[in-house]
Amino acid sequence: MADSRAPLDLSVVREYPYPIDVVWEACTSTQALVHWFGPEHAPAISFVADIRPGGAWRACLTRGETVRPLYVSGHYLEIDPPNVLVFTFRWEGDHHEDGPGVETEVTMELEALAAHRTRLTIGQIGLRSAESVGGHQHGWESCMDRLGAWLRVRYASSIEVGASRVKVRRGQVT
Amino acid sequence: MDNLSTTFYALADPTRRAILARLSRGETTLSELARPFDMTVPAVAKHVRVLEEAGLVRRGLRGPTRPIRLQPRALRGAHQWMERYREFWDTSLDRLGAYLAHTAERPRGR
Repeated sequence: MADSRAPLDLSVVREYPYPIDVVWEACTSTQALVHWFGPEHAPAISFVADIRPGGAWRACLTRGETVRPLYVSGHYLEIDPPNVLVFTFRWEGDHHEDGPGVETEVTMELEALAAHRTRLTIGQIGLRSAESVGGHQHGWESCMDRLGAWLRVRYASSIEVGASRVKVRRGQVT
Repeated sequence: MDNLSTTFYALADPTRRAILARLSRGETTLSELARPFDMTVPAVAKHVRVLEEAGLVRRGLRGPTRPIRLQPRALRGAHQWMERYREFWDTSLDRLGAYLAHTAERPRGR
């Protein structure tokens, strides 16, 4: 039910077939974040962060060689391993469809559904228009696709199968 | 929306009222606030945002994590508004009391 008084927000949920510690690491390690942060059409080429309460983060997203990259940054508000990550999120410059300098708040919540199943919920609040909500929703969905792909490559190559300890080649694990 | 409507809208949800009750015992993190509820942390964050926009809570300005805290004069406007009606009822009930006392003194029947 749409309520014009409710603040604009979005929420995206995915489940990944990996332990919660693995997904938490993907969300809190800059070496991992640079591989999945940013949508497919504007992936991160750098992710610099001081991942601790109050620490700053900044990502550079490329849109191709002929277009200027986008910078987005903020700082961490809460880090509660392995479940909750809260940070501010602000597009630098004046390309934000909601206007320059709009600061939103992003919450990432991880739940261990099973030993090898984690639900990741990403929420963002403080957006100012329905268009912006739609744009950011697609962006996060794309990020989560990229995260799934990165996790598959990163961890599928070293899964032990049964007692034989056979190393599974990339691309063969479902 | 005027301040009073914003305040009552914020209060019109039991989760938000529970959040205010918790914050009245001290500031805390979003993670901690979400613990007693069967909802995702992002969903609780949205409730906190409604309370923030109504001026009832805020993230502290100091410290690295800026914990969420109750605003001291948060409900003053709503309280003042309700005071008017409390006075109305108090006055009415005083008058009712006086009427009943007077009626009881009179002999029953004609």
